[in-house]
Amino acid sequence: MRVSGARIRAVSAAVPSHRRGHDHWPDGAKVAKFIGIKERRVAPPDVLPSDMCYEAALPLLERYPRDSIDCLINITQAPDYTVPATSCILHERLGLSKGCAAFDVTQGCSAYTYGIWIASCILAAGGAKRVLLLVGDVNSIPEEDIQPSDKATEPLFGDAGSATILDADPDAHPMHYVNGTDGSGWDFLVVPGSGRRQFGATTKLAMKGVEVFEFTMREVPPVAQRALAEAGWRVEDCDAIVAHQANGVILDSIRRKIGATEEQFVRGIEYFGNTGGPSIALAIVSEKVEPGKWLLVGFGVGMSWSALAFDAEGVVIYPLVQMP
Amino acid sequence: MTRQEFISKVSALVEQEVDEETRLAAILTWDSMCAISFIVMADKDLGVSVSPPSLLQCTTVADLANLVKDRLV
Repeated sequence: MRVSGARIRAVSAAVPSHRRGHDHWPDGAKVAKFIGIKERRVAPPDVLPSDMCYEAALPLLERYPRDSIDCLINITQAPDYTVPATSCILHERLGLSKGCAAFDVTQGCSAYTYGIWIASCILAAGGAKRVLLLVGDVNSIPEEDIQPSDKATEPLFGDAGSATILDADPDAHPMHYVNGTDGSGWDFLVVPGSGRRQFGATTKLAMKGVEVFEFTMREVPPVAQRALAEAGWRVEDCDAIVAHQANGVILDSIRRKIGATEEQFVRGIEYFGNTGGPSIALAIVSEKVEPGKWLLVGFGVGMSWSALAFDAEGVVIYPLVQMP
Repeated sequence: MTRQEFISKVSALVEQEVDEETRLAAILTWDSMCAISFIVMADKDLGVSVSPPSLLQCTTVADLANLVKDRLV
């Protein structure tokens, strides 16, 4: 699917300052080596995705006037409230204009590319001129709540927020998307108590790790290759490939299966872990990815995927915001 | 890959000497990390996609070998 008429202007990301390694697990060193994650940035209990997205957005708003933004999209799995939309709260905090549309989307590990797709479709259709896309998640478990049964998930996750400015621009390079869903895997990753279906159940993530891994190996490399084909590129044409930073094993396997080099394949997981939705934006920022031909591949909970191949000419990468 | 080389690979994965008769339940280190490593090894070294349900049905190392038997010599 080709979308023309929208461009990414700038990408920013913010992380909490607190670092957490794996020393609290008896075989922490072995786990760290296996998943390719030495430490994560972990938000304190009173810091939510909206707070990190807010911090990520502030530097962008110094360059892009608040009243020029006519659409705010906030994507998270951990909203401030289920009512109202967190985007409305962020609209007020960020001082955006009353002429700005604002809405939330629920999406997980494929959130960043989904968000760019939604924003670019709105922009290309003339529905807005400038979109502020906020993608943030908190997936870490508070220190005092960690139980032995959390070993399969706790070491993986860190927290982050991101902010991206996209503009309508008839001269922008086309964006080539491959989106998809396999809802039969909806229970591979689930927080049972996160909604009304199992109200009162645990709010910790339950993960079928082996199934998630097998799904990823089966579905994601062909999706990445289809996005390249949509753009008319071969893998060697890409300047940067940024996949959802799930874990080291998955990243290595995707890279191997699509035939990318280590230089092309961005790996920003070692000191941040899997931050869910914002992981692609965070990797772009933390690894200071140069503008060029980018392949972005979001995938995960749902099960869901969204790959995007485009020439990111002129995209400005802002320095990583380290929250106090 | 020979059947013996396969057994050696599995031994390395679980960090202990195993043979075909070894029961997975008796391998203390056999966990989800090992299961994922096994899937990676089967895919990378043997070109075989192992499905989680078929892996869950395995009770011995010989069962693991049977998942990839067409690629063993």
